[in-house]
Formats: sequence, C-alpha cells, structure tokens
Amino acid sequence: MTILGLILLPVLLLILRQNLVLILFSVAAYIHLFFGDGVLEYIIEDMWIGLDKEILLSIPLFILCGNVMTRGRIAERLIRVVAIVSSPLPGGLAVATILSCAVFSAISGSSAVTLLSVGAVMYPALVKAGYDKKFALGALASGGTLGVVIPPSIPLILFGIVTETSITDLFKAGVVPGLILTGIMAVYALYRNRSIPRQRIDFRELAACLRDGIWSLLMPVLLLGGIYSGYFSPTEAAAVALGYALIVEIFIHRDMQAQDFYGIAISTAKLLGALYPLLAVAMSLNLLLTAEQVPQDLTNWVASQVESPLTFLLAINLLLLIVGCFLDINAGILILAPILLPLALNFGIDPVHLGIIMVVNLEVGFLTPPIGINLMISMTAFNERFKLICQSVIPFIAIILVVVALVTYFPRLSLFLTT
Amino acid sequence: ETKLKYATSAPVKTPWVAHANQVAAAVQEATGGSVKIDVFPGSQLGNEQDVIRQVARGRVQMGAFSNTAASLIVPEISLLAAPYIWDNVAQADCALDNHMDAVFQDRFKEMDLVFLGWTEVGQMGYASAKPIESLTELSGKKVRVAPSKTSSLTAESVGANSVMLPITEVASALQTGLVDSADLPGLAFTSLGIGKIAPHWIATNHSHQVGVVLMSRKVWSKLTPEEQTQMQAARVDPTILRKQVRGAEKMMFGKFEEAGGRIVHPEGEELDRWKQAGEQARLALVKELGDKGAAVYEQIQQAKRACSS
Amino acid sequence: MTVIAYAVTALSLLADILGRELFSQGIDGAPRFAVYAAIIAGFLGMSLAAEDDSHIRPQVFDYLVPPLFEKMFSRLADAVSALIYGGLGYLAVGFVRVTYENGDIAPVLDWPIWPVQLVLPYTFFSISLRYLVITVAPSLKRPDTSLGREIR
Ligand code: NA
Ligand code: NA
Repeated sequence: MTILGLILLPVLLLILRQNLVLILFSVAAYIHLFFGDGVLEYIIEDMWIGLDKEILLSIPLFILCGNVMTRGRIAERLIRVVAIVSSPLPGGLAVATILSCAVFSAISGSSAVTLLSVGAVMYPALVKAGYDKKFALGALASGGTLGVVIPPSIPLILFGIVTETSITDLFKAGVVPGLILTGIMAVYALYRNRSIPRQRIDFRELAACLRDGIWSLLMPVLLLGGIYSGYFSPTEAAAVALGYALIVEIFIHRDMQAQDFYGIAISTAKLLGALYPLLAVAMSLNLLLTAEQVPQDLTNWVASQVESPLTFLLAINLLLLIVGCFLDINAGILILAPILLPLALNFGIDPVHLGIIMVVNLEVGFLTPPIGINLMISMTAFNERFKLICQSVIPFIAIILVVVALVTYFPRLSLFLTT
Repeated sequence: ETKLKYATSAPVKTPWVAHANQVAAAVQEATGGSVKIDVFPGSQLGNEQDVIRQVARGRVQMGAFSNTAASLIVPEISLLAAPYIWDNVAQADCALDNHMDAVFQDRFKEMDLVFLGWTEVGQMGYASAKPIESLTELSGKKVRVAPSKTSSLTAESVGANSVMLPITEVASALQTGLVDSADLPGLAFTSLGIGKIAPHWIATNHSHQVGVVLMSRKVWSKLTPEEQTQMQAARVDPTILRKQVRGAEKMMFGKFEEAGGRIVHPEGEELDRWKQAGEQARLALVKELGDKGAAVYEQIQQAKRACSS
Repeated sequence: MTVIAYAVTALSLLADILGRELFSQGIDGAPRFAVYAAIIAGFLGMSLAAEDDSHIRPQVFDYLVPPLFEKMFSRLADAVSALIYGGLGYLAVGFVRVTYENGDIAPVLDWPIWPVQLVLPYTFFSISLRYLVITVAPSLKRPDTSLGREIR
C-alpha cells in the first residue's frame, strides 16, 4: 500500500503540474514519513547538510566561469589558434573541433559549457568550410562530453563529495582516459574527412592569432599547472579560473564590461537554483537508504550473486549505460556512487577507478535519448532536427564505448598518475 | 526491542570499529537483547561534524566522535588535545578516567548528549614529503591543519603557514606541494598509506587525541531505568582500545621505517622548543575559549596534580 | 544580493589563496565564509528561478486537461505549489529554531549558524507567497517559459 502511494504521489503531482523540485521534495517527505523516522524536518536538515560543504563551492564558481567565457571571447580566441595549427592536416578543421573541445575541457567543468562555447564558433565554421553537417553536429555534441572527463570536472567533484574520495586524485585519474578519448575521436575525424584538402599554415596569421589568444591559451596551463604544482586545490581552482576569466575578459580583451557580471551571476543563480535542491534531495535519499541499510543488503546480495570482479564490472557498465539514458550525469553520480562504492570495495576496486568508470560510462548518457542533454543543447543551439543529431552521434558513442571498456578493464590507465 | 544506530567515521577493520562492535555486543548482552545496536562505520551516515549534531537532535542515536567533532558541541573539549597538555600518557589516561570523565558528562548533558566513554586516537606529529626535521625547518612552511582551532593554533605557534584541509585531500596535497607538511595522528598517517608520499615524520607527539562515545539524551530518556543501568554497566573498558591503538601505532611505524620512512624524535633543547611553542598555542586556545575554557583548564590542572602524586 | 553573494564567495577564496601563496598567511575561516555566501546565493537563485518559472517542469500529463478548464486548473496547480512551498517554509522554521536552541556554531568561524539558515524559510515563504498571489490574481502570472530548461 505504501509502495503504491510512492508511485501514485509523483503521478498526481505531475498531473497537478508541479515542478521537478517540488515532486522530489514530496517524494522525499513521503519516504521519510512511511519508511524513515516520520520527522519531515529531516528533509530540511539534509538539505542544509548537503549544501554546507566546502568542496561544493567549486560548482557555482565553475558554472559562473563558464558563463563568463561564453559571454566573452576566451573560447573563440583559443579555437582560432587550434584551427590554424591543425590546418595542414586533411580535414584539419574537423580535428581542430575535437582538439578545441579537449583544450576547452581543461578549463571547463561541464559538458554543456564545452559544447556551447566551442560549438558557437566551430559549427558555423565547419558548415561554411564544406564539412558534412551530420559529422559537425556529432563531433560537437560528443566532443563536449570531454568536459566531464578531462579535469576539472563537476561530476568528478560530486563523486568525490559523496564518496569522500580525493578530488585531486580523481582529476589526475581523468587525464589519461580523457586523452585517449580525444585521440581516438581526432583520428576518426581525420579518417572521416580525409578527402577534404589540406591547407598551408599562414605563419603571419598564426602569429596574430597567438598574440590574440595567448591569454586564453594560458588559462588551462594556469589551472591544471596550479593544481598539480600545489598552488591551489581543485576547489580553489574554480575561484582562480573565475578571477582569471573576469580579469582577461574585462581588462585585457575588453570583450566584456564589469556590469555584465550582474546578468551572468543572475543566470548562474537560476541554474543553481534548479541544481541545488536536486542535489539536496539526492543526498537526503542517500542518507535515508543507508540508515535503512539498503546499500548494505544490496552489497551482500550482489556479493552472493556475482563472483568475479570482472562480472561485477560488466554489470556496472550495463547498469550505468541504462541509467545514463534516463538520468543526468550529476544525478546519476549522486544516487549511484554511494551504493556502488561499498560493492566495488568488496571486489577490491579502487574508489578513484570507480569514479572514472562511472563518469566515462555516464558520459554516453549525454548522447542517448530520451534524456540526452547534449542532444537537446545541440538541437536548440544549432537549430537542427533531433533525429539528425541522434544519428550524428552514433559513431562517437561507439568510440566512447570502446574507451569505457578500456578504462574499466585496465585500471592502470586511470590510476598510474595517482598515488 | 530498541534499535540504535551507532555512527563512526573510522573505516572497517580498524581498532575503532572493533571497539564499536564490542560496545554493541556488550550492550546487547547486558540488556538481554532488549537494546540492539547497529554500527555504521566509515562515515556512512555522513561526516562526523554533521552526525554529532544529529545525535544532539536525536536523529542518530549514538556514535563515536573525534575531538574535532566533539568540540563543535562542547568547545572546551579541545583543551584535551591542546599541545603538550599532559606530562605523559599514563597521566592522561588517569586524568581522563578518574577526573575529566565527570566534567564532560555534565558539559555534554547540557547539550542534550549522554557521555558514554573515551576512545583513543593516538599521538599527532608532522609528516612531510621533503626532509623537514626540526621546528626551525617547519617554520614558514605550508602546513596542513585539521579543521580545528587547536590544530591551526599549534601550527601557527611554530611559525607555519596553516592550510585547513580535510583528511581525504592530505595525500594529494602533500604530493602536489599544496602543503609541505601535515599535522596528522600517527595512526592515520601510517594506515592511510600517506607515508609512501611523505616519508618523513617528526614524532613531536604534540597532541594526544582522544574521542568520545556519545548518545542522544532524547533517546536515552526513552530507555527504561533498567536498560539505562544496564547500558552504563556495559561500558567497555577504555584500556582495551588504548592498548590496541598504541600497539597498532608502534607496529605501523615499524613498517613505515622498514619501507624506508624516516622518523625524527625531538629531544633535549629541540623538544623544549616544541614545548614552548605548544605552551603559547595552549594559552591562546584557553583565551579563545573564555570563562568556561578557563574553568575546564583549571580542572585539567587539578586532575594532573591528582594523577602525578 | 545574489550577485554580491557570488562575488563574496569568489573573493574570499581568492584572498585566502593569495594570502597563503604570496604572504605566507592564509585566512582561516575564508572557505567556510565562502560556503555560507554560496548557500545564500543558491537559495536566492532558487526563488529567482521560481519567479520566472524556470524550474524544470515535466509536462507529460498536461494534455489531460480539456482546454475549457485550462485556466481553472492552472490556478489549482499554483495553489498546490503555494501549499507545498509553504509547508517547506514551515519545516525550515522548525529546523532553524532547533539550530538556534542548540546554539550550533560554524566550525572554525565560531559564529552562530542560525542567521545564515534564515535564508531557507525566507526562500520557501517568498516563493509560496508568489504562488499565492498568482492563484488569487492569475493575470500577474508570466508566460510559461519552462521549456528547454534542462540545459545545464
Ligand atoms: Na573539464
Ligand atoms: Na541519456
């Protein structure tokens, strides 16, 4: 009976046209009432506990920074340099698209920001240069997902928060899988566009672009260099990135004015206004499940069903692929990481490795319907048909799946840079 | 039957979780099964700073907490971890068991908590990746401190540049050089494998860390008087855990040295320098804690006198 | 207010880093301070998001309502939202009251936490009030813009 109510309540609220946040709150309240201790104030308490975390600071700051870079022209200047450098390759602009996504990923923590920033410049350029529209869409939608694998990465930060794993280690572990993904995607871009003629590098233009883009190029160096040489922690890197982006856009490039920050902060606040309650409710449900020993029971059950770590990893892969179809990567991490962690530890899998498996695996979810965020963004940003975009990402999904397998079964790819 | 959730941040297969399980078993036996305790190790119910507040609110029934977490509720308890506050470990054990026990029972009671006993975490020292072997060398360096006043005041008293970091970030921070050194409990340093990154350890033993087992007073008052008496009687002798922790500390440092780690034991004048700096930090801490802090500090001094005679 | 809160978040972190790396003296409570600023900004953002209806709203069952009753139903939906947000506000008051009574202090900063937590009931009640107003006076409602808000 109570289970039935758990299903009927969200349906009723959907009919009553309530927003997702309120539906989640109501479901949490229902669970607290009928499965927990019956004290509804705990929802608010969990919400507070969930948000009162220093590591969480990096999320609003990275989103702010991403919005600053999209408003200004840091991305555009960066891409111009990459495009000239790749021009002597056949299909140079295609390769440049992938590389730009990778370089931009090293300063952005999210997939959407990477896709939007690179896409805004590259999509018109690719179409104008005669590249296949389908390829261009696929490359951008998929290249954008590098944003969550190559550090800094918001999903990796979330994984670190909910599993209490070192975020610096997670970031380090993301580097090699990110580079492998970039490499394979770039090779595919080269092969697919091999008929498009090469161009000579115009060195005078290159010099001009470098002069123009030097501050943009320095940004990934500053961020990753700063983290790995100990000037600041990954959380602090977000503040540094934001500070740097603002100074460059306002005082050096003068592509933005100080008062623009107002609008950017407001739009960031609205995005987070939607993300924060989701985060809070997810954390609350996690705690409730743990207190009711659901993950513990699940661990014991799985441990009794699955014998080898290999079968377990395969099961994780399949689970995450299915989950990725329906859930946003952040929600997927928040809900599943705490449940999978004890299972993984049971099979001797390193928490850092699990984090990378989860992120690369859920990365596919950006590109799969029904809820594929990058598909939706591409549809609105490039004004193309949903079906065309879905088809365009198929070869890239295949590439990511290959990397999922590599990352899952060769832990050293993720772990050899960490301790 | 009453079911109680017992939270601890200690990871499974450590002496602390073994201690929690002993407490659970002893209570279950003493109450004839009418009170059952489920242990949630490894911060499963949240990090200890959050959980200790939930115990005060009655949501989580009980748990074991470090000095850092406990001082969020009763700030004066940070004095127990103040640098060089005890002359030796035996004095500390005696003072805690025979004198400070009652003091903190009262203080926790005011905060809606029932104090059920001490736990042992061990001695603190400084770890570093590059050789840092004396107070002078540590001075001016970036040092990780725990999120507590005691830890930061202590590091600042030797002239270090304190950087507050959670324990999960310590290994990476030492590796990247975000910090040059880290203030850590010896057993955490060795058992978390930080020794591989930071093979230098100064055994300053500047702080003796003890934790507390606490229970929610709201939950406690719902138990029958017999159950309350039975639970009090089931308190696990703190000397068992102390012995285990100190034994493990010694063994793990042995392994650390075997693997090429280097331990410096400050002696003579060098030790005096550490102690002088520690005294400064201690007085600063007492000052920050106000009247209640001064009162507890005085009680500690009395306990020390009683335990050294 | 939201903008100031974000500026404070970033500036306090940057000041801590610069102090530590350049002047060998970080600011102990800076990250804590930044966390509270970010929480305030996040909650104010929640009410901003509610103000222009930009919270994600699944519209799967919208077709169930016959066009004739559309206006009435939309008012009912707003009334329910007002009610739920009001309930959250009520719970938040209880939560802040316990924090106040227990005298919970912020780690490191040693400040009482409850003033910061006031942003919770404030946010919930102000959103609730807004829904109440448009239930009574639907003409004040802005056009629905919740389409395509999944973008993050
Ligand atoms: Na990234
Ligand atoms: Na998907």
